[in-house]
Amino acid sequence: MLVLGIESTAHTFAAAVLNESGVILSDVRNSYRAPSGSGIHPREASRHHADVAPHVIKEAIEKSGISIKDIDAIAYSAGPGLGPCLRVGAIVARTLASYYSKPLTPVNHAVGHIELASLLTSSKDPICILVSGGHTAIVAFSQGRWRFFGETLDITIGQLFDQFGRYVGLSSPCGPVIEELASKGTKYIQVPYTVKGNDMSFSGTLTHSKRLLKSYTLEDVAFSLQETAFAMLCETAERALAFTEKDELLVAGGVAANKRLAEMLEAVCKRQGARLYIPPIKYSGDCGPQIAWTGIRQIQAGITIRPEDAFVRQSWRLDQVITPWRY
Amino acid sequence: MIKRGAEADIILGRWMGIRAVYKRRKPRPYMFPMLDDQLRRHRTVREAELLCRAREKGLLTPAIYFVDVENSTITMQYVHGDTLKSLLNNPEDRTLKAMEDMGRILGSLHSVDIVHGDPTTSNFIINSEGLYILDFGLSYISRDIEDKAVDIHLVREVLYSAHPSLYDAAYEYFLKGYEEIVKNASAIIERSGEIEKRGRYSRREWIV
Ligand SMILES: Nc1ncnc2c1ncn2[C@@H]1O[C@H](COP(=O)(O)OP(=O)(O)O)[C@@H](O)[C@H]1O
Ligand SMILES: [Mg+2]
Repeated sequence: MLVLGIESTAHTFAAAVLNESGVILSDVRNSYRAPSGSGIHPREASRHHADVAPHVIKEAIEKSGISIKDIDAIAYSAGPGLGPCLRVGAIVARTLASYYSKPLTPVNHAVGHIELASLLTSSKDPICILVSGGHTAIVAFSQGRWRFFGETLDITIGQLFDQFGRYVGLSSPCGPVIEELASKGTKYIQVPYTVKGNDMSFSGTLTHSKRLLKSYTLEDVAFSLQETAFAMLCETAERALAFTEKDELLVAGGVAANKRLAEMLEAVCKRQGARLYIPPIKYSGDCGPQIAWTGIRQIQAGITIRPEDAFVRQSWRLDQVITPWRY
Repeated sequence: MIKRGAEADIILGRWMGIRAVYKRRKPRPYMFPMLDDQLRRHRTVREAELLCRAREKGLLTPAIYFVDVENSTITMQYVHGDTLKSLLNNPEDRTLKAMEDMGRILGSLHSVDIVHGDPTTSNFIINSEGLYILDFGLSYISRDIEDKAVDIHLVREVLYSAHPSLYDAAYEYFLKGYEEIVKNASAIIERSGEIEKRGRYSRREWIV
């Protein structure tokens, strides 16, 4: 089975072709860059996506070495994400599906992150830390769906980094630059640390860190901010591991690329007798293979929709998605 | 018995000749040492303080024997019995009654402005005397509806995620107990619903 997956949740418009063994036959991406000091503007990003969509799709098909007629189905990210961006992907997917008469399947973006991370790391039954622009959550599979064992009560770590980064004039996504700056910091300055049960809160950390810039270097503040935010995430992950008694920890989402986070999570796993699984950096951010791979599993489970029902759902929660391919 | 809790090691031992539990918060090597020291110290003191206060209010909690702040260790009464978590995983006749008690206990804490901070099902132990509440490491004093509402949200989160097949009944019984004790229960419960909507992916400005 060959599936074309289309991703257009936020910054990135991407397409990929995968087969049912999980082999990535092609993987093409094109990302919108926000002007420095400002965030992603949904309408601007969607215009970018509409412009690049035909080229990205064409290239994904060409690179996979097959013809679009050989594709068995089309999958697209239907949410959660930015409405205007999601709509571009949905329209492209719907058009292709009806023109070539192919089955169509809508994929939840968060499920896409987790399923591809599972495939690439061969983890079986993990606690999964989902850290991306739109998510900071600790989830595990039980009774038919991925369920939340902890999550942020306000902003995500991605937003924390972006909002702090933009405050100092960087352009989003700011995560990689924050990591770089943090690695040069040496002094730990106290910023609010808020853990409630397995949930966490970052808005106090953000406000306080901005204020600290008056008296400390950017590197030291970035260091303190990153250390504290990751410590909260690690603590809640550890709590979830202890509670569920699972022995695998999987990291999915763009922030998985951060080396300091990986190092900290390694220590968490050592304490809890668990194994850490981190997918290759290249596949931790938003990309087509996430959608294509999840699409394959959905098609195998018989989940398809008619092109006219190709919806998008900006706030489609992970724990609303039934995933019948997992026991 | 050696149990690994959410953040501490639980060791069964003796104190002045009687059976006792040593709860030790060990250093977390992944955290910046200054942050870790401060958290462990702070939580040890907090836990001891609020365990005592809850006990004064007539709730079933382990009695504290000794607090060693330097080693972030609390020595306390050993409570025999099953955790509420295991009772929900292997339901018996007394399970829903225990959920009602859980509601009453959290309600009693909230009525005296104690926010538990981690009202998960592994932090309750049931035996013939009744339901005990433990683990006050994340507890604090607050009159704020928002803080109490987070406790309720955490109860719902653990029931829905860890005990999904019993979720509806368990939460219903929990509420029954809670509402029986707390005067402004409906305002707190309503707020907990808002909290869930807020933190979740309903944020339109999620990257902007
Ligand atoms: N006083 C006690 N008597 C009996 N068992 C206890 C006692 N304290 C803790 N435990 C057991 O150890 C587990 C972890 O203890 P807890 O205080 O919740 O630590 P943590 O803060 O690490 O979660 C509890 O779920 C319970 O099963
Ligand atoms: Mg506990």
